[in-house]
Amino acid sequence: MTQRSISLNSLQRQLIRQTQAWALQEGFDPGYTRELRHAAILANHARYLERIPTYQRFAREEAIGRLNDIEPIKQQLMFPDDLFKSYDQQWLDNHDFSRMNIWLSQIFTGAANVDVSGIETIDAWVDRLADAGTRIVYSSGTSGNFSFVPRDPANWALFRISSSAYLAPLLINHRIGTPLQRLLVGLSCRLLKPETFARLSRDVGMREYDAFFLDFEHGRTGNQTLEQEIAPLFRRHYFLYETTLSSTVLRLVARGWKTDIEREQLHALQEVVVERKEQNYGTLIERIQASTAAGQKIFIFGTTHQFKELSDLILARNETLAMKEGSIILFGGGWKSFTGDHVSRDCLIPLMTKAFNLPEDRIIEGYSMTEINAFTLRCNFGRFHIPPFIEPVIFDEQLQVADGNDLVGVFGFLDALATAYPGFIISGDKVHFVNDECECGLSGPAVTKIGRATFREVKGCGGIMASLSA
Amino acid sequence: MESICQHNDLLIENEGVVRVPFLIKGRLVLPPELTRREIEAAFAATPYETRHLELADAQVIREPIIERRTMQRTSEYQYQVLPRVNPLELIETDIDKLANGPYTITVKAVLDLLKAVSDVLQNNEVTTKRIRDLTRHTSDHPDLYIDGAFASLMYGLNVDAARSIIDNELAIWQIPGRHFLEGWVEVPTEVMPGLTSFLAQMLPGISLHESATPAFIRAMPTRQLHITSGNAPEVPWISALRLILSKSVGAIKLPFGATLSGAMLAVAAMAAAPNHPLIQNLSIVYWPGGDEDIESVLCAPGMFDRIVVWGSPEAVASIQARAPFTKTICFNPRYGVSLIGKEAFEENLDVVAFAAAADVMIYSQKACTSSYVQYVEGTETQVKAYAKCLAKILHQWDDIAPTFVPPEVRGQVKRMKRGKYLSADWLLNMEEGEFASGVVCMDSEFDIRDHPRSRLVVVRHMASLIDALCYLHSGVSTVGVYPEIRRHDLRDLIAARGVSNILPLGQCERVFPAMPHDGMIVLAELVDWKNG
Repeated sequence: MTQRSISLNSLQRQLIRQTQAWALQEGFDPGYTRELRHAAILANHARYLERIPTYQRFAREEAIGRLNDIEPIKQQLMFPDDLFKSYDQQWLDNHDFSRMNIWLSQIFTGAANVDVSGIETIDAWVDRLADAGTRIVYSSGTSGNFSFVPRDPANWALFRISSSAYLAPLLINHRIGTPLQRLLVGLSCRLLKPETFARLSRDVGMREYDAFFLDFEHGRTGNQTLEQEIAPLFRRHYFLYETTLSSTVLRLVARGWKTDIEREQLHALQEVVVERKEQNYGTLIERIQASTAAGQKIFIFGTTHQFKELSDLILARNETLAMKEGSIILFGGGWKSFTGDHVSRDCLIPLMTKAFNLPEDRIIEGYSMTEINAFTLRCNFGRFHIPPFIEPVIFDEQLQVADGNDLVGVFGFLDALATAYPGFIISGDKVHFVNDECECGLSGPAVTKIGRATFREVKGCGGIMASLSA
Repeated sequence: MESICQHNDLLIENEGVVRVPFLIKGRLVLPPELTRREIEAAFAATPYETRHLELADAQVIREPIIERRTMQRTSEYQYQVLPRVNPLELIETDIDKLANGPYTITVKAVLDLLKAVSDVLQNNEVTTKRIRDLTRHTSDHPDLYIDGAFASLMYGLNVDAARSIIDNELAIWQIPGRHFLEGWVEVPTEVMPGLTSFLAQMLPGISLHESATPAFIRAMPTRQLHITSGNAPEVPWISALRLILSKSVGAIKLPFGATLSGAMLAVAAMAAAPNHPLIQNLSIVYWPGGDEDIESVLCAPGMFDRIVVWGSPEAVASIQARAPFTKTICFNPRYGVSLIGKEAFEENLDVVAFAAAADVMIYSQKACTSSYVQYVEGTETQVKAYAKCLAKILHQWDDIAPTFVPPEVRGQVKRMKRGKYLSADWLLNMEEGEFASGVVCMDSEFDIRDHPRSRLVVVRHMASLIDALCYLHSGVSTVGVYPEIRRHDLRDLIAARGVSNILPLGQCERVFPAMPHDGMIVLAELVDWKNG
């Protein structure tokens, strides 16, 4: 490990500690954190310059070398999120994964040089990369064009540590914790290193909960990756679809089939998600009831449109789920499906509180994307608070950086934890951005309303699941 | 016409405010009086991007003024004050009144109406020029295009062209359409009475009849709702013309961006023939597209016989979902492409690129026939040379017809360049450091949803034009082909894939009376064909 990477690593760990302090509202120093964040972003810039060919190319075009200020990055070196789909779709159509390797190496600090002989599916390629230590998370949009975001083992470990280290205190301190839990988490955060805290959190887990994921058991989308990470924390966990959502079939959903084999694959998927939908939901409901009868609290994770479907189904049966106090719902993925169906928050939340018999504050909305190493949660005052290891950048429609603490624009970010790929990203989301004290107690930047920017397709796990259900 | 405008202070700018009337069933409905101060105070309380609000009994539209020399948005606005819409006023449920009134008039009376409106417009040049200039203040389109569009509006009112449309679009049995539109027409056919009539002869007693009565067909006028789009200023006029030529009644919803030219038609109609049965049953109005309160009433079963929707996928989907029981005619969002054969490199490449650029420049790619993607057969070097040539010609177009490039288009070009299409060759024409037009040359597949629809041509290198056929489908309205011999070779293969127009390169904007539109003979869709 070089001196610079030790230094970057150290900066990142300090940032995670500060993020914990921010989540706990104990000892958070915004000025110091800003310095850490900027230093880490600049160190990442130097790292990308050295190791990522595409980044090198654009930096050269912009005549930018090493920097000691992040402003030129914001102005000139941020990438749209579809950088991660800048490959030729025909390479996937033709199973040309050697070309995919070359492409991936252009946007990645590592060399994607796995042996691709015999590989005929995206999943097999992703698995081969995983065997070599490169984790690929993908998402899809209306077009069926996948974004592939690569992380090396160090970046992956950082992602896991940071998520556990600040999300647990955030949830327990602000949303679901008892006074004792808050005390224990606060103490642990102060006394333990982030990685130790993360490991301990995973070891202790949430054994009083059984988890239910409204998703496929196997797959590599952003949500599935998250689910596979957190599933072992619970006493038991269940998936709505106890099968695999392969990337090949997911791509067929948007792009259509061309061969008889593809038609069969698509048909098999439709059988699971359309023809057996009610049966699958019915089984899930029965399992929730069984877990509740066994004295377990319930954790359910899914997308907006699925919760609408499930709520409608429960209420159509003239039932409500009498879950144990303390149960939680976590949902996200946007309010619009690929097919354009829109669910409004004002409609969905009352429906969910009624169907699941939960108070509104136990129904938590999350916001994230595959290209970021953070997961944000909507507070009780309607804000998705951005953790301090992320530097938000808001753009106007012309993609020029906008200044201010109350803006409507395209959401971009400099992710201090993105070490393996260019983490200076312009998303496809148009947001209302605010930067001040929130009534919930958290401070700093946050976004409220989230929609898609002009010309950007609906994408993400929410859109995928809604379209499969349509 | 001018006296109506002057007397009522209509379609005249006063401190940046223009009062815009509606035509509602033969009545000119005036907006209330609002001062600029009142309007600005109302908009001050809304987000900056607000373009429409309701104030007192008015609707107010706010459009940024575009400085014509630089084609940049200024911080100034032009406001339009319009009446509010009561959807119930646009509906006609007294069918007997229609059957005994407008549906009985002659085709000559229809053509006389067009002539009268055309005369009024030609005799009121001051008014039409003023409305054209008011349109220019805020239009995205270059002045040259606005001027041309206003001139072409007159062409739409040409009586000979109108007669040809009626006679050809409604022609069946080799009988001119006017006869079917005016009444019942006996057609020379052998009528089969049907199985039951035949079987009935086996019963004792009265026989039905010896032979069936002759066959008569009529093209019955209908009640029509036209929801128009603003990508080209003529669209509301085309819809209104079709409504009138089908001797029908109903309402035209003007789009944002074409309210002034629509109101011009309303005032001209009232000046020309206020008591004409068709004007007495015609409405020309505006409301913001998608307004649930208005559209749910208008789309309810039985309110109209035909709904015509132009525009965005959202607009089309929204109306289709709301009006499942009404026959809906959709002019879906489509786009054009070009196929350029290798022969281009054996001849004068400039001439070919010039023709291809003409197809790109149809309303600067806002029109659904304009060319977005060009598939070029040749070597990589040849295709790059073609792209260069095309970029140069587009730059010349930028000089003679500078257009407003919306900020979101510039943002999208930046995204494409540094995102999904970062490996492509970008040949952009810049104006003060920002995108004005250009060509992007790529080998990889292009996702049409990424296209910014503003003078950007995607050039794709093809080993053979046949390879481009897989990219043609019903979303492609028009294919311009070069050279002619290749067009004739490929025409059926292209048409079979759902494309509506397969035309010579450089001629994709052409029109003629009674031409099919989006795969339809539209007037024949708008009338209701009856047996009687």
